[in-house]
Amino acid sequence: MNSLIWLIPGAPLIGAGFIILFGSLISAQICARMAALMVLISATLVLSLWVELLGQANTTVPNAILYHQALFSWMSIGDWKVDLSLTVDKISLIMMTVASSVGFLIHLFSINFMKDEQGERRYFFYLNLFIFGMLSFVMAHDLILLYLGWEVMGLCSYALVAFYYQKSHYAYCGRKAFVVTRIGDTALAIAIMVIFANFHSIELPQIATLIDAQQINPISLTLIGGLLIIAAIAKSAQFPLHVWLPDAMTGPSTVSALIHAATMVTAGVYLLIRFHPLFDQLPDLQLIIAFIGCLTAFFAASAALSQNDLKKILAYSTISQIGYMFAAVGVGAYGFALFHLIVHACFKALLFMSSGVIIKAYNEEHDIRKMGGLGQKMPFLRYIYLIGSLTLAALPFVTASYYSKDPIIAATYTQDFGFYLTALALLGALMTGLYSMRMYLMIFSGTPRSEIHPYAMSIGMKLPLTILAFLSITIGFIQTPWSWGPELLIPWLASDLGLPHLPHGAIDVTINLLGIAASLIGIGLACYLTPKELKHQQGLGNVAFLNQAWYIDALSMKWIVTPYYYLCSLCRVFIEKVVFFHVIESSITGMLITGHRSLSRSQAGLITRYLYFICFGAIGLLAYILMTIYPIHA
Amino acid sequence: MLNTIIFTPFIAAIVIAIFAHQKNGIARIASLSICTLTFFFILGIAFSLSDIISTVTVSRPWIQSLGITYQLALDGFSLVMILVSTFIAMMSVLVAWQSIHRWDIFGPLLLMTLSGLLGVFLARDMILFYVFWEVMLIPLYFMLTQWGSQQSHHAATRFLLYTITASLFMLIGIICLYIQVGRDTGVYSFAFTHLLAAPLSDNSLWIFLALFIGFAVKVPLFPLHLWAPDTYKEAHPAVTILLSGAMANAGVYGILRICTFVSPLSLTTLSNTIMGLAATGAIYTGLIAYQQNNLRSVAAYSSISHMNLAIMAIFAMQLQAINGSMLQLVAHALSITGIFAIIAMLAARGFDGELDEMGGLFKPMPKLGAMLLFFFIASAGLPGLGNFASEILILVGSYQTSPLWAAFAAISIVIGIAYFLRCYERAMLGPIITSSIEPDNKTHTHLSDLHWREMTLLSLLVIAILWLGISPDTFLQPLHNAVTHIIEYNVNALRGH
Amino acid sequence: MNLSICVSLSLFLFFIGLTVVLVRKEFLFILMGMEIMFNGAALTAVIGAQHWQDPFGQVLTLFIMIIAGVELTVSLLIVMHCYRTLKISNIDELKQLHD
Repeated sequence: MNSLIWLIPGAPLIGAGFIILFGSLISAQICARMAALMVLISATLVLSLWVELLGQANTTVPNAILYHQALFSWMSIGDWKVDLSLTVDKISLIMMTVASSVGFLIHLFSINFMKDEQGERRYFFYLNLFIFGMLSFVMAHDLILLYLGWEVMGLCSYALVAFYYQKSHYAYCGRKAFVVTRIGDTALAIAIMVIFANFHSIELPQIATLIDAQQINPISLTLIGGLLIIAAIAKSAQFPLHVWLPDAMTGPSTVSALIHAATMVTAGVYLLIRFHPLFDQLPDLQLIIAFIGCLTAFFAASAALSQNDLKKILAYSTISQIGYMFAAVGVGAYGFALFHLIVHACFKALLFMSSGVIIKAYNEEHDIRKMGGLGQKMPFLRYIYLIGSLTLAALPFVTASYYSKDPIIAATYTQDFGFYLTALALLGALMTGLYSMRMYLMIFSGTPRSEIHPYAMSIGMKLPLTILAFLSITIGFIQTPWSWGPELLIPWLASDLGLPHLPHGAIDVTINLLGIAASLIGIGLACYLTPKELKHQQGLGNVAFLNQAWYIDALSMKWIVTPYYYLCSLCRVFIEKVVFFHVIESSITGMLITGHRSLSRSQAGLITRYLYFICFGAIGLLAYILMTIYPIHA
Repeated sequence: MLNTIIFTPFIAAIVIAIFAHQKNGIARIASLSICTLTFFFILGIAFSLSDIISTVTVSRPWIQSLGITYQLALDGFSLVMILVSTFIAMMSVLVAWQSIHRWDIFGPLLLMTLSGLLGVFLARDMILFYVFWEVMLIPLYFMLTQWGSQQSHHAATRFLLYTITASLFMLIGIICLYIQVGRDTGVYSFAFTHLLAAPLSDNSLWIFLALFIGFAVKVPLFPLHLWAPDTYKEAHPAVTILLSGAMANAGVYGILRICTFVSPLSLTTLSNTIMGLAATGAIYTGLIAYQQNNLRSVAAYSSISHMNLAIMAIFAMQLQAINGSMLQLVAHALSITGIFAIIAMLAARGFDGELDEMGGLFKPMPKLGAMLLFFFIASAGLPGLGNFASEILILVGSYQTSPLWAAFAAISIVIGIAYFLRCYERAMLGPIITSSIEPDNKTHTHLSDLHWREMTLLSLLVIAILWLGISPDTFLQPLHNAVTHIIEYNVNALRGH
Repeated sequence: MNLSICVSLSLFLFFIGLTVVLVRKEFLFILMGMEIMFNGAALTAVIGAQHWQDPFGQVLTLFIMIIAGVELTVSLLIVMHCYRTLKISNIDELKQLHD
C-alpha cells in the first residue's frame, strides 16, 4: 500500500495531463468520465488506507507518521534540501478523505451538470488539477510541496471562478479571488523564508520537533505565526480578507461546492492545525485567531441574513462556518475544527450542488425573492435541501452540525475573554438558523414567483446528493458530547492534536442549552419573518448595511484598492515620467546638447581657420617636446 | 572546441550575408539550422562532460605587449549560460520566421549577436570579454532600427546611448582594474586568472562601481532601466527576446563573474544599498506594469522586475541566493521568451499588443490563451514551474542576509499576479471586442488559433519551463562549483580584512 | 658651408610657404605655398645627408619630390573640379560638408 501513496495526488494529475494533451481528440463526455475515474482512484486508495489503518492497533503513538513515500529530490543547496515526499498522518488522512471523497462526488455530479457546457474539457482539467493541488497540499511532507498545492489551488480557483470568462465581471471576480488569496500566499512565502532562516529545515515534522524543543527565539516564532495567520485568513476568507469569496460565486455551482466550500477555503484551517505546536506556544496569537474566527462567524452570518442572491447566502455562510473552525483552532480545540470541517464539507457541498440545480430550474435566476414554490415541482431536491439547510442551522440532536459546532462554541468559553467570544459565536449560530431557513423557505415554499423549468436530475446527480445528505445527518454521531454516544474522532486524534479544553459542569450545560436555543430560535424566527417579508416585499433582504456586508468590500475598495491604483499612477506618471525622464534624463541630454552646440559652432568649416589650429597645435607640441627634452631649471 | 562554438555563428553570418543575398528562404533556413546545430553541439558537450569540474580551455597570446591574451574557458556556469542563449536565439529565429522579410540581413545580424554572446560567456580575458560584449551589442542596434514599430528608431537610439555609456564605464573600470592590479602585483595582464585572483588593495570601490554600472545598465537595474521599457516595447518581439532573454543575462553574468571577484569589501559595503535598490525596483516596476495598456509594456516591466530580483540575490552573497540568481537567469529567459513569442503571434494576427483593442480572444484562440496563461503564471512564480524554483531560492537566501529587503521583495509575488491577471483579463477574457473580428476589417481577419510551427515553439518552451520547475537540480548541478567559488572567495576575502 | 646657415635657409623657405598657406585664400596660392614648404623640408633632408654623409637624405628628397608631384596632380584636379562645378576658387567657400 505504501508504494501507491503517490497515486493519490498523482491520479488526478495524470487525468489533468491527459485532458490537456489528448482531450481534444476524444469527446468531452469521455474526458469528464475519465476525470471522475481518476478522482475515484484517489478516493478508493484513501479509503483503503483507512481500512488498512483500522486493522492496525498502534494508532496511539503521538504524531505518528502512518505512511511516507519519498518522491524525488527537488533541489539541494547547502542547508536547503528539498526532498519532496508525501506523508500521511491522522490529520492529513482526514483531509484527504474529505478532499478525495467529496471531490469524487462533485466530479460525479458534474458529469451531468456540466454536460454540453462550453469549455467542458477545460472545466474537468482544472477540477482534476485542483484535486491534485489539494491532495498534495494536504499530504505535503515539506513546505515546498505544501506551497505548491496551495498555489495550484489558487490558480484553479481563478480559472474556475472565471469559467464563464466572456462576462467581464466574472473574469474580474476570478482575478479578485486570485489576487486576494495571493496576499496570503505572499505571507506564506515569507513565512517559509523565516522558517528556513530559523529552523534550517522546511520539513514539517522536523519543524514541529524543533518548536517543541523550544529553542527558537519567541519573536521569530511570533512572526512566523502571524504570517501563517495572514496566509490562512486570506485562503479561508476570514475577516478582513473575506472579500473575494462572495464574488467567487460566479463560477459554476459545482466549483463553489468543491473549491469554495468543501476544500480550498478550509486549507487555511488545515494550515493552522498543521502548525498547532507553534500556536500552542503562542497564546496571544491563539487569542487573535479565536477572535478573528468568532468575529467572522458573527459578521458573515449577519451579512448572510440579508443576501438575496442564493449563492451569496451560501458564500457568507461558508465564511461564517469557517469562522467557527478558526475559533476552534484559536482555543486549541483542533479536533473539533477538523470535525466541523468534515461536516461542513458534506452539507455545504450538498447545498451548493443543489443550488446549481435550483438556479438552472429558475433559468439562471439567482435572486431568492423571485423563486418560491419549487417544493411541489422537485420534491427530491426539496428534502435534500431541507436536510442541508437544517444541518447548516445545526438543528439539535438530529444533524451533524450540532455535534460539531456546539462543542466549538462551548470551547470558546475557555479562552481569555471567553464570554465575548461565546456571545459572538452564539449570536452567529442564531443568525445561521435564521438565514438558512429563510433561504429554504423562500425557495421551496409558497407559490412560484417566476417561471420554473423542471430540471430532470439523472441518477448520477441524485446519488452524490443522497450520499451527502445521509452523511450530513449521520456523521455527527461519531462524536457525541457527554459520552452518551460514541466518541470516536477526538480521542483518536488526541495522540496528534491533544484533547481540547471544554468547560465543565453548569457552564457547559448552559452554553449547550443556549446553543440549542439559538438554533431553534433562529429557525423559528425564519418561519415567522420570511412569509412576512414575501408579503410586504420588505424585510431582511432590504437592510442595506447587512446586504453590503457591513460595507467592508466598498471600504476595502476605497481604502486599499484605490490607493493602490494611485500608488501605481504615482510610480508610472510621477516618478518614471516626470522625475526620471523629464528631470534626470532630460537634464543630462540637455547638458550634452548644449555642449555639442557650442563645440560644433567652433567647427565653422573654414579651412584656413583649421590651418591656424594645426599650426598652433604643431608649435605647442614642438614646444612641449623641447621643454621635456631640455627642462628649464630654475 | 570553444572556438568552434563561438565562430560557427560568426562565419555562418558572413557566409549567409554574402552567398544568400536576396534569398530569403535559404537565409532563414540557414540561420535556424546554424542555431540548432550550435545548440545541439553545446548540448552534446554538456552531456559528454561527465565531470564538470574539468574545464575546457583555450589560451593563446594575443597582444603580448599589453598583456592581452586570447583565453576561453568553459565551466558549469558558462555552459548553462551558452546553452540558454543558444536556445533563446533558436526561439528568436522561430518567432521571427514569418514576420521578417529580409532574412539575408536579419539572420546574419542575429547570428553575429549570438556569436558575441557566446564569446562573452566564454571569454576569460577582460579585453576579449569587452570585444565580445561590443560585438553582441552593435548588431542589435541595427536589428532594433530596421525591424520594429515606427517609434523604434527613437528607442534604438536611447538603447545605444545607454549601452555605449555603460560600456564606457565598463572600459574605464577594466583599465583601472588592470592598472591597479598591475601596481599591486607588478604583472600587467588582462587575464581573468590574474585580474580576479585577489581583492584589490585600494580604489576598489570606484573600480567596482564602474564595472557594476557597466553591467547593471544591461540588466537593467532600477533606476538605470529607463532605456528598457521603450526598447522592449518598440522592438520586434524576436529582437526583444534576444534583448531580455539573452542580453540581460550577460549583465548579470558579468556581475557574477567579475564584480564579485573585484572587491568583496565594496560588495559588502554596498550590499544593503543595492539590495534595497533592487527590491524597490522589483516592486516599483511591478506597480508600473499594473497600469500599462500594452501587452508588450507589461511584459517589459515584468522582465525588469524579475531581473532586479536576480541582482538583489547576488548582493545577498549567500549560497542559496546566488544559486537562485543564476537559476533566475534561465527561468526568466524561458518565461519571457514565451510571453514575447505570443506577442509576436498576436502581432501576426493583427494585434500590436494594445489591450484596448483586444478582449475575449480566448474564445477564438483557446490554445493561444492557454499558453499565454501558462507563461504568465510561470512568470508570476507558480510552484512547479521554472521561476518559482529560482525565486524561492532568491528570497530564502536573501532573507538570511537582509530580512527587510527580502520580505519587501516578496511583495512582488502578489504584485506580479495582479498585473499579469489584469493584463490577461483585458486581452483574453471578457466579451469579444467586435471591431477586432469584423470581416471587412482587413487587419483582423486572421483570428485562427496556433498552427503547428507556433505550437512546436511554445511546446518546447513549456517543456523547458516544466523541466526547470520540476527538476531544477539538473541546472543547479553544473552551477555548483561556480557558486561555491564565489562564496568561498568572498568569505575568505572578508575574513582577511 | 656652415650648417646653421643652411638649416636657416630651409627653415626660411618653410616659413615662407607656411605664411603663404595661412595668408592667401586662393587654392593655387595655397598649393604653391605647400610646394615651398615641401622644398624647405626636402632641403633639410639634403643638408642632413651632406652633414652625416648618408645617402638616405637624398633618397628621402627624391621621395618627397615624387610625392609632392603626385599630391599636386590630385589637388590640382580637385581644385579644377571645384572651380568647374562649384564655381569657387576661394578656400573658405569650400564648406559644403558643413551642416
